[in-house]
Amino acid sequence: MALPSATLRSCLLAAAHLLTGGCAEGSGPPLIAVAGGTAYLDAARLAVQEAEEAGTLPPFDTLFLVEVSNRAAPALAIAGEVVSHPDLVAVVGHANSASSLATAQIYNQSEVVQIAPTSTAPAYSEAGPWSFRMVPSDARQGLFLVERVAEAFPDGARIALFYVNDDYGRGIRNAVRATLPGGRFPLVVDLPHLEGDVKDQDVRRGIAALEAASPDVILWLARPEVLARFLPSIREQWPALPIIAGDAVARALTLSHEPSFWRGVAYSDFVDPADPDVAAFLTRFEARVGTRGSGGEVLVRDAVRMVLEAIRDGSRTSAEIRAWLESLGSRRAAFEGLSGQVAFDPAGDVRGSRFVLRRFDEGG
Amino acid sequence: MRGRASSLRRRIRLTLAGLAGVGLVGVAVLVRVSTSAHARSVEATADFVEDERISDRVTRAVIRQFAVAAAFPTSATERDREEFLATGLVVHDELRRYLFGELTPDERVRLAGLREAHQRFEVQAVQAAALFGGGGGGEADRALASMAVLADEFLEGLEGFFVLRLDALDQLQRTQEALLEQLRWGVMLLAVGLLGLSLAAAWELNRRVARPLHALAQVTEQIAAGNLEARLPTGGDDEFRTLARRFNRMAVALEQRTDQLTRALAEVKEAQAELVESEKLGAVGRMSAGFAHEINNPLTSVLGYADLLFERVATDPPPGPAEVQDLLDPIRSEATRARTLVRSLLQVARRPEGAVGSVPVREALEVVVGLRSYAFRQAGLELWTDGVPHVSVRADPHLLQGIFLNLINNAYDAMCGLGGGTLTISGDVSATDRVVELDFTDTGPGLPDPDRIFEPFFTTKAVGEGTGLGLSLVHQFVTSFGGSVRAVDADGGGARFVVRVPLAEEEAVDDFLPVDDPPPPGAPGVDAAGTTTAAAATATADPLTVLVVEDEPHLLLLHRRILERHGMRVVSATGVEEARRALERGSIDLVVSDVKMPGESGVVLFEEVREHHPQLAGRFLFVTGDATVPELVPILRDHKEIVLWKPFRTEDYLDRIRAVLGA
Repeated sequence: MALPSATLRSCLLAAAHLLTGGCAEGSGPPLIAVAGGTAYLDAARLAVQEAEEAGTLPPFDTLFLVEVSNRAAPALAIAGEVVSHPDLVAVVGHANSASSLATAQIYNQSEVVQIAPTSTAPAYSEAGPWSFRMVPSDARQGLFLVERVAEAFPDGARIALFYVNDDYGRGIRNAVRATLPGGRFPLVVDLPHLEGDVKDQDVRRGIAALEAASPDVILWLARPEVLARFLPSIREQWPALPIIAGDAVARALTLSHEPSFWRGVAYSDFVDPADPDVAAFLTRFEARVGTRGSGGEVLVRDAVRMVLEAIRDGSRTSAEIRAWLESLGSRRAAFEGLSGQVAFDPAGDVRGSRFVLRRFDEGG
Repeated sequence: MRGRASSLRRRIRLTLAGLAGVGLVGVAVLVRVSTSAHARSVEATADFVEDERISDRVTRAVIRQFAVAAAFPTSATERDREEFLATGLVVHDELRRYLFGELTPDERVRLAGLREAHQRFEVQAVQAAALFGGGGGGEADRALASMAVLADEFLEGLEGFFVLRLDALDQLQRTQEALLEQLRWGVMLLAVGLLGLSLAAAWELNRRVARPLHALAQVTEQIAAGNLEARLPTGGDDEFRTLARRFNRMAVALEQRTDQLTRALAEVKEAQAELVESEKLGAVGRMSAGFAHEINNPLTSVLGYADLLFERVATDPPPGPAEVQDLLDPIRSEATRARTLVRSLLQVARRPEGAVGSVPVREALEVVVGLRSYAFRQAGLELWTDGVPHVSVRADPHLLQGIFLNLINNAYDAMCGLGGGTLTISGDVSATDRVVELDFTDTGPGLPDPDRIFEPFFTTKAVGEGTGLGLSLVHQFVTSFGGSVRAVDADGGGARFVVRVPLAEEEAVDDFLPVDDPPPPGAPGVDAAGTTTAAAATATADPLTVLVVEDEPHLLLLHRRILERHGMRVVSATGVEEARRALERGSIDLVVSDVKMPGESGVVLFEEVREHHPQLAGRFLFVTGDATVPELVPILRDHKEIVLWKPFRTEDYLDRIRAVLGA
């Protein structure tokens, strides 16, 4: 459903925030736009603050744009608005695979660098030469999750798979199904749901399916908001039923639930929280925002710092930033981010697998 | 100045560059618009086709999904669900194609909504399947009903999306049509504009370039035609103003140079005429020395015989008619000879009248040969004519004689001093070419450079002996009345000049035949009637014996009659050799000798007398009419009275004889 353009425009104007100076028409400093949820924007602001504190900040403007939902339509409106800015050189965003994929072609047509922090949909690899992402494709995450299930249940397990029926959920579901060995690991539930539009009947039907299938483990390939709807009912009947989730659930702690709410839930993440630098950043993030950050925020921070580094190296146009990104790990050293060394393959995907499995009951 | 001077070039360049630029920009715009329109047209057509295909596949897939889902109440197995989802993957993939395609913002939002609608449809269907798989019931039925509603919503959304696409494509097509219409107008306007610019540029170029160039061409033609006063107007652009000034300066200079050249040419012509006349008079002059001697001989005879006649008439008894006749005959014949010589000389020396007409070639040649034969003979040279036809040629008679005179003189000069030589003049008629071909072949040293021999002032003679114009004039005269002359080396050495002169128009070439000429008078082998040779003379010791050396028979006889009449014995010799033999025989009291004679000259005889008969050195008297003999000069310095000049009176002759004998 499309938002009325007047509403969207006012939303954008309300959400936009200029950190330094105004935007001159095509003659001002390079403009970086960050589009995502509020947590991502806070992580970006913290990254800019870090750079300011380091004293190496090049002249630039930053435009922070809030995505009001995880759906494609608002992201498309934001993208259409932001590419009209003449000084725009890079966009860090959007919030998820659906919105990143939906907007990718707008940025490619406008020849603006897009760095998706957490978009894992396999289709994003085909988005175009101006599209990069900080995380591997779901093709690899699916394998990672299956391996974790196999580790937890070496003798086999009945798997209940819940997925969000969008680009993210379908992509990671297909990857899981493609790598699931079958036989000892039958898929007893394979149930989709909708993003942000879950009704009670959907929860009921899911629980009914679980009752009918009696799974040993739940693979949750959807976002934490829906999991939060299901989780009480699940825990009511199966208090110890393990839940292994995809990376999207890493944002769970940004929701208004106590950490204990997420007990028994493990999820894949792209950063190692045990890393002291990551821990320090998350601590600073929590101190600034009041909520615990996740890998997504770390990736947003890395992406913003990376673009600032490119500008500091003399890149003043989007083409120069794109060339700078492509040169990482080859003509120049990989970018040293909190998430690890960042370099990109020809499809714009970050090189190497960097998944870790985290549990909320680990305290973080 | 340089900047000003290049203003026209700059204007022309700017005009051409402007035209080229406008043309290029216009063409580029047209090509760009045309290409773009064409590409977009092709693209739009492809989009139509692709949209139709996608719409068809998506619709089919959704209907298939709906059909599978509709069977869930009776068959909701895992396989059924997988079939449902696999079919949905078609929808998912097909719609995802648009993600990376070119969509309007509205289309992109519609697409996002459509995809979400399909996701809702699928979720409802799969949940229904799960419910039916779990036993069905009212929940399952409601899920299935919702699924049907969502499927309908999706299809509606799909229709709306493609309607939007079709509208957009239709709009694109209309835009393209409008663009093409604009393109057509653009082409027309551009063509009209270019035409206007071209006409303006052509007019400007015509005004600034073509007209001045045309004027330049006209003035150039006028100057080439001889109107050196023609001038270019000095208006217009800097370049043409500068060009006109320079051209006019050049025209002025050309006019001045032409005036100078005209004056110089007139001077040259005048000088040339003087040279021609000088050369001709020179030739006549060179000939005159011998001529004086030649004419003095008959005059001497006339005077001598006249004196004898007077003397004889005054004595008693008076002479009879036979004796008078005997004395008058030599007078008449020698006077006639002198008249002929004078007429010939006048004829040759006369200025040409420029009138080309019919000239009897043989007669013209004979006049000149007659003038020069004596000189040839005196120089020990032979002059022959052989087969010169009796025809008339088309020529100026005086120039024709000038040709002959120069060629004969040239041969004379070439052979004189060699101790002998022959010039043979032969002639023939070429009926085919209607020319008379006269061949002058001598036995001289030949031509040093036949190719240059007719060049003016080319001469092999010593300085002062000729102007170098003689043969050049021959060439000029011959060609002036349509003839030709060429010079080649003769067989066996010597020079050969071949003169071709056109026949007179009235001359019938078949009417003549070559005529063999009798040998010319005085040629070797011709006896001189009436002469007394030294061999016939009989020398006596008393009275005085005078040795007379004279090649002219009339003069020799005159000497004899005068001297014998006054009691002296005469021993006659017609040449030096005979005189030499007479001297060897002795009893000679006095030597009277001519200077110029065939073979050796009288000067040679004088030198021998001084060496071998010194007693006679003081009794030696030259009788000559030629005062130009160079050998006489040193002798005259020491013996001023040794020469008696012809013609002479008998008294003067006897006084000089007596003076010598007295000395």
